[in-house]
Amino acid sequence: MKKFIENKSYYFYADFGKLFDFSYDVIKNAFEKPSERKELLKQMYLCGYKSLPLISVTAFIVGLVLSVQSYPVLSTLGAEMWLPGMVLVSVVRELGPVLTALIFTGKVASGFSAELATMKVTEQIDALEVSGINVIKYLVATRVFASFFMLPVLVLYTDFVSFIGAYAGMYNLENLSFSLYIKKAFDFMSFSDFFPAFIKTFLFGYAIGIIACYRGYYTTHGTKGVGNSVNIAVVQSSLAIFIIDLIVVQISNLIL
Amino acid sequence: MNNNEYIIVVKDLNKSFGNQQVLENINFSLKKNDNLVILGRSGTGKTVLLKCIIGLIKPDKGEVIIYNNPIFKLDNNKLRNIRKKIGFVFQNAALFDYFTVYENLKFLLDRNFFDMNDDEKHAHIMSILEKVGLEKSYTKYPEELSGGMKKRAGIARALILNPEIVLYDEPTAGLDYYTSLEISKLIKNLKDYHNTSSIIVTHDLKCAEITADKVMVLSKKNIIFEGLFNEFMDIADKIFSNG
Repeated sequence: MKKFIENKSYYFYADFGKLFDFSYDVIKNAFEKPSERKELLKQMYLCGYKSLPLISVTAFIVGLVLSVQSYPVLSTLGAEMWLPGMVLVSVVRELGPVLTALIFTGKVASGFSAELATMKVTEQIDALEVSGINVIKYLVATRVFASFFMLPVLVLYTDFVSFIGAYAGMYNLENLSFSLYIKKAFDFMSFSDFFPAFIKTFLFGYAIGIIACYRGYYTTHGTKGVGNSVNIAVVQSSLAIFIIDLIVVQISNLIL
Repeated sequence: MNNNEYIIVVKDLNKSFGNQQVLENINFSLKKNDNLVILGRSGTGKTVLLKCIIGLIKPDKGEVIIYNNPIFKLDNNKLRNIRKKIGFVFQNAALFDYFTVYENLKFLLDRNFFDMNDDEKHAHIMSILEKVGLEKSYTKYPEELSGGMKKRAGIARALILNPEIVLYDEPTAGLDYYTSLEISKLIKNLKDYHNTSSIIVTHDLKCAEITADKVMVLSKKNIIFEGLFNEFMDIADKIFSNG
């Protein structure tokens, strides 16, 4: 049993070290010539724009449900007017970033890892390499930075759509005007609610991109390996989101 | 040995995977405008050797020198520049499956021939496709191609950057007799008309007969024969019966 744990720990740390090496390689290669701007824009379009329908539906429903379910509790305390602020703060600080990152993981991280893993096992990555192409830059850096730049944008969009969803719920219950809803919501908001939450979305984006690409890039054992890589990429990216969230919340509580 | 005469020199190459040694003290060289055929049974390390030469697999020991550059000591940029002079034909073609045949070729041109305009690129792609007999199938995706067409597309992609050296990994594996013959003749023609030097890994004796200037046999981790095809045929039965 002890040996089993030792082995597992060894592979865990070795894998973690390899991930950091990979991450260093990605950053180093990202700034080499020639520019991969076209591929970066394509990946940003695929992981950003193409995620909008799914994120719109999810964000609207989450906002709506949050307001409808919180209203009875607040109304028994006579605090219905706190609802817009409560919704906005919870969406901006936690729900928006984490929810979007998890949806992004399911949609984008699985796609990145499956694509790279398939290219790996069918020797397409080797074919790129022997053609003198900087594979890390062309395939990996473009995806990692697309994820890094697009997730924060999607989180802002989620915040907005959830806020509208919550208003729809509240309007149904209270017939509240939109201008009053906005005023009440922003009475509760401060810079310290928004800033750390927004910063962590960049970290989420980077972590999701790098883990997904790392898992795909080092795939072995054929089609079974592709399945395993996608599975591990989604699980580890989701876990990374919660760990980063915890760390950023602790740090921001200390600083702000 | 005068190193300038040789464009590829392999020195004391050793490679193991776990406890299994695949290559042991491999030494050989390739002259300019020569076709070297590496023969051997399946699992004798032919593909590993080819991938070591191009730097896809790092050997445990030994050196590969291409145009006087020890490739495992080069930085990534220099290695990429060397690789641009080498075409590699994969056993399963390894075409980029999200591109058509035409796009597979254009993609590499776009990234390497910056001073070529679109018309020149189109003309170059079509001339290469014509050489491999795919001029009518250039809009097809790899999944729409037959095995023989995939091999041809793989060869076309390897040739698109006008390489000086071409490495072929089992170019006729899995093909019928006549298609194999066509591919073998194509390899021979490329050498004759484009002055390319090639290393062809195969276990197809007919392909070796058509394409080889020199034959090398790999067996049980080592090179057990080096010479002309006819010399090899005289002792082939003895060599292969010994494994």
